[in-house]
Amino acid sequence: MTLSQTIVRTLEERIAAHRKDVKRENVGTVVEVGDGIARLSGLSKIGASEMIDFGKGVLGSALNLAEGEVGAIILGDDSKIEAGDTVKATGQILSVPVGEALIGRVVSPLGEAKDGGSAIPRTTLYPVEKIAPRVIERKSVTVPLQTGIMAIDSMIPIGRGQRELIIGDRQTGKTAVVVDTILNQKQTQTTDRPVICIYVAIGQKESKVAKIVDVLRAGGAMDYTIVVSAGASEPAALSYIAPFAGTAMGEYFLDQGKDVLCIYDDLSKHAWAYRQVSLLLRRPPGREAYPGDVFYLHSRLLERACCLDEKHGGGTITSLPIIETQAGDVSAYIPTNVISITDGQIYLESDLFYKGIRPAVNVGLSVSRVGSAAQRKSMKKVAGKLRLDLAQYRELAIFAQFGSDLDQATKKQLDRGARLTELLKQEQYRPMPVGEQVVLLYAGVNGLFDEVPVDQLKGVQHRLLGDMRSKHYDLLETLAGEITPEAEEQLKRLLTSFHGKKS
Amino acid sequence: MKPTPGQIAQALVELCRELPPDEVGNACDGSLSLLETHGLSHALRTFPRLVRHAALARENAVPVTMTSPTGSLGAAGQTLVSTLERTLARIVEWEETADAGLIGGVVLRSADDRFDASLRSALDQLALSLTQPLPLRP
Repeated sequence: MTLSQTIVRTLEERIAAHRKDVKRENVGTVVEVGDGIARLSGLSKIGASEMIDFGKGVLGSALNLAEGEVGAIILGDDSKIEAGDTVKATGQILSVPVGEALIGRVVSPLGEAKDGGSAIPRTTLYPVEKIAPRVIERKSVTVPLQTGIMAIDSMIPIGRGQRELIIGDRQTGKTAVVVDTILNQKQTQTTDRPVICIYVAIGQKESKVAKIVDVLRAGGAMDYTIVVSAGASEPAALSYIAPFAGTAMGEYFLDQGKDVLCIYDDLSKHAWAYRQVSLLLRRPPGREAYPGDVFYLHSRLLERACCLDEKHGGGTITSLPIIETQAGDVSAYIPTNVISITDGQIYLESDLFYKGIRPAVNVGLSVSRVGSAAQRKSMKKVAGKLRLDLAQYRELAIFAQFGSDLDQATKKQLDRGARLTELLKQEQYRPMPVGEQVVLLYAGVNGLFDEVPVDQLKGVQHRLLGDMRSKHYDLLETLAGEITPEAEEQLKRLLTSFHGKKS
Repeated sequence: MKPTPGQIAQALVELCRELPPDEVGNACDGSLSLLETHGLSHALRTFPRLVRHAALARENAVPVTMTSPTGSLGAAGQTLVSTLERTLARIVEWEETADAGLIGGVVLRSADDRFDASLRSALDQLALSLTQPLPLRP
């Protein structure tokens, strides 16, 4: 039978099987609508978070269930809805389309295409709200997620399945860190554990999202990335569900045993959107006018990041939530909430940024609670000394400001620290493979750059890496995993001869 | 214990049965004041509907709206109402409305339940069935 005959037969079967059943629906009436929310009468059998069909292609979700009245958020254009309109309960909770077809696309939190491409197929739907995996289904985090940023991979290592918060004031490079992390996952695509990335833009400018998509496309990252965008001009309800929708898209790949990276940029705007919706729905305001369950808003989202055991597929979801602080205040309400939920934080400081230290990571205040458990052996070996040297440098730098005479050991420590700080500076959109990081850090902590003037260090670094890439690529591959005695000998010889050539 | 808007509506209906007609307005004003006193101002919008439902429940009546393309079902509508009264063993307070978009058939609505037996709905269901993904292999 040919394909056309099969199609015709299928259609005939469907027409024959069609029965004109009487549909029973639970309906209500719009009492009041505006500002992205609607108050409805009726809908006596509706459940919490059940989808509501307002007609005219507009959907909503029931959030407030009171006697005789239902408060709902409108997930679309509320200008099409009028008081007196009839609405119906769909009997389903809010779900979004998931699948491989979303990779490379820019979509709305409802799974609608925003990049001008073809419509997203709705073959498989996942619920936006889902209970996180239980304790018994999880295992500890051991596989590293390389960001490609030396300062992070060495001293604040992130593992697959971890939640690591990125926190800082505006314009400190938070989005730059996550974009570099996404770009760095390109090298995982040829391994047996590729990482699929989902970037959720919450309340961001469309121009910023467009720029990020351009950067990802130029870096070949859109081949494994989904961008979910709820723009600043869109209803707050869409910003509210955006991170949950992005996580649902990630859970599809998690269920297949794959590794997923979910980035929420940023949860501060997410909390604002939830506050707006809650105040409009007349929920009682708490501290800073946020509703009482704003902690639960983020905790249930971030708990869905996990590292599942082999029995449940072995997949992981790594979360990188972003929080924007005001004037460096990490003790504010929302930042402290999210800090207490996540497994560590990367603190970006404006002072460091303006001094030219970029990424502006404050390694003293940043921490990863997973730590070296999710770090490669080679990196673990060099990172310990690096952290110690930098900590000593920070302490001694205070004395150096007084301009008093310093002994040789102190001067040496200060010189070492200045060079290590310069070494950790990295250009934007230039993630570095692990092997190269290990080479540079090994040279730095063992004093091979101590004779190099600080302002010339970057040039030396580039020449060294160029040399390694062109002539000793196999050594870089080895060092990406472990510093074997043979590899260490070879590295020492190469660095010494490079040092000799340079001087 | 704070009364609910539904309880106030039921109380109003019971009270109005005992009051002379010229006192009914005062009773309604009193019930609205009661809502505000108990912090139930948000229920003012839906209160008339609650009163209507309470009144119909008191009379053991079921409100039904029948919507057809023309708005006049004629004898078929009467038959439908009789069948409902027999099945539910209650009085049916019915009204007819028109919606040409239904094409044919009828839609019944009672309180929060809607029973859609219209031709439009049947065609929508058929369209949904026919537009499901087709097998691509013979």
